[in-house]
Amino acid sequence: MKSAKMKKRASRILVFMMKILVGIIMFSPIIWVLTGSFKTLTEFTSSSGIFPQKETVENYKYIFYHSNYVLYVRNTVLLMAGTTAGTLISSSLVAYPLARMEFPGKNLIFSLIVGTMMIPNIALIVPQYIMFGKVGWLDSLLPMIVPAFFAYPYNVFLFRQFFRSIPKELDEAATMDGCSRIGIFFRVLIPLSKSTFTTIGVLSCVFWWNELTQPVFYINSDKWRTLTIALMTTFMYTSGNAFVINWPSIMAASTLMILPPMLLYLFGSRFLVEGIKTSGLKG
Amino acid sequence: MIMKKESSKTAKKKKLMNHLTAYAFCAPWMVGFVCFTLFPIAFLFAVSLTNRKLSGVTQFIGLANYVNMFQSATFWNSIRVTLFFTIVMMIVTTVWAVVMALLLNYRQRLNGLFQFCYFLPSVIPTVALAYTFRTIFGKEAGLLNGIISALTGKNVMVNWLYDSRTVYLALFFITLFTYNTGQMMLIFRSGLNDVPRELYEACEIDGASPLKKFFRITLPMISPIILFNAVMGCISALNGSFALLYPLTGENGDPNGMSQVLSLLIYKEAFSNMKVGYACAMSVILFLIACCFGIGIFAISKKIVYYEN
Repeated sequence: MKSAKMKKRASRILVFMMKILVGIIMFSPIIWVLTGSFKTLTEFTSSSGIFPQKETVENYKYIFYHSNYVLYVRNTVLLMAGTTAGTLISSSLVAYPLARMEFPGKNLIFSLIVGTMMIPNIALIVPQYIMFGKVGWLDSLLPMIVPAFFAYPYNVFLFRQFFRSIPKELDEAATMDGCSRIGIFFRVLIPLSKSTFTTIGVLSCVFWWNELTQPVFYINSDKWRTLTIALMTTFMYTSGNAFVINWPSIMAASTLMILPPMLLYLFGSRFLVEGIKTSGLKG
Repeated sequence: MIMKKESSKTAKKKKLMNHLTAYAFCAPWMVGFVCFTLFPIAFLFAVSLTNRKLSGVTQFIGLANYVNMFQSATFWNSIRVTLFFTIVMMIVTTVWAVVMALLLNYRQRLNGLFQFCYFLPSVIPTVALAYTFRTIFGKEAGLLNGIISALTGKNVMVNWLYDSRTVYLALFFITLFTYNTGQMMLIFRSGLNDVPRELYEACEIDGASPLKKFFRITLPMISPIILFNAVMGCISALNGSFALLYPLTGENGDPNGMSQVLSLLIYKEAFSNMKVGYACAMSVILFLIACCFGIGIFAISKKIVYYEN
């Protein structure tokens, strides 16, 4: 009896040690970025010590004074807000009948949605580039914001999974009280799905804040540059010398870029696990 | 009799109204599907048959792009790299996500802190992640070389990302920190919570080891979620490899094209070489590869995934 208890205790400690080890592995890049942002260029390229010998805030000053930093932040926020608002509205609307109504063609629509989920965006980006060029949307945020208002398959899927988990009796009760289908969506489903809206909202914000591929394809000029592109171009080189990569200033810019998603996560973490419903994934 | 007819008529009308409401709700997706998916697919195939340049000059040249492509060593190398990278990344990230989810679902103190640490790297922008690891894996003053040197006492100078022997090791390690891994971990966590406790209790009475419990209960119960994540991991490997590798190894996929996945090659052909038609022919292949992966995974899943009903 005693040995069984000991064994259990030993395994608990072992699991805890593993948790710490994984934690160190996962967190070390963040420490490296953070401390690197306070190093001088000479120290960064000559020593592999984690903590700076002499802290400097020059890198942060460099970012603010030598680039249109505020402009890049504005562009990124616009992109993030536009796409997230778009996808929350459109994806939840589309998911509603798929989860809770019966109509001909429902299965076809759902299969097509799951099917398009599997097409990597990058395969269609060149024809889309030509298309958006024809409409005159290139070098703006429109090629990314407008499609968001027409429902992303993946988000439709997540909304559908959650809506299915809400008891159908609620709909019937609401219908008895004279609620229309549209009324049910706004009065019954939305208030009950706050956690899903938050989850998808947070995930979408983080995704677009971090997105590089589409801005790289669609945006050329400095005017609409997002932070991700700025990291690859503006902050990359030391002023006056295009061949020396200015690592500490990249680290400083990265540190500033990590903060907003980190805060979003802290705000949304309560919802993150419950908001993603996987039960009924089979259906 | 008349009453009944009347009521069935109104019922029919009501049903029709219901259907129309449903279609109205679906309308945004339908418009988006036609404009941003169906049309680009058709357009993609059309442009791949021309020698369209970035400037817009276009001429129909039939299958010439495909002929050139199939004779190009760069293209075949890129196909190999894409397949290898996608499959290995899918496996590595899924396994790592399961491991982290399992650890976190073992209730202990400080779990919130651990989840924070595990999830946080995935919210780092991939560009920032790429640059971070370029410095961590750097030859001079890189963190990894520093750690190894300190541990072994020798002065280690490996250029992890530019050495053909270590580049894959370094790249797959970096994929553990991507957005996709973190999201998979969350999905696995919620899936693991849904596994009925009674199953474990029954197993414990039989005196099964933790390992046995994992393979007999946990794995089969979460297999639909593994399938879902494998599909998503596959797409994001095809899709997200650009954002990760472009800042890491450049459009040429250094060293020696060992990391030049198809998306990098498409970008290079379209924007550096300005051959849009040729890039479209490659996109067609990428599209077909994605389809094959999708069909393949579902075909396998029919055999190994456990369904409740």
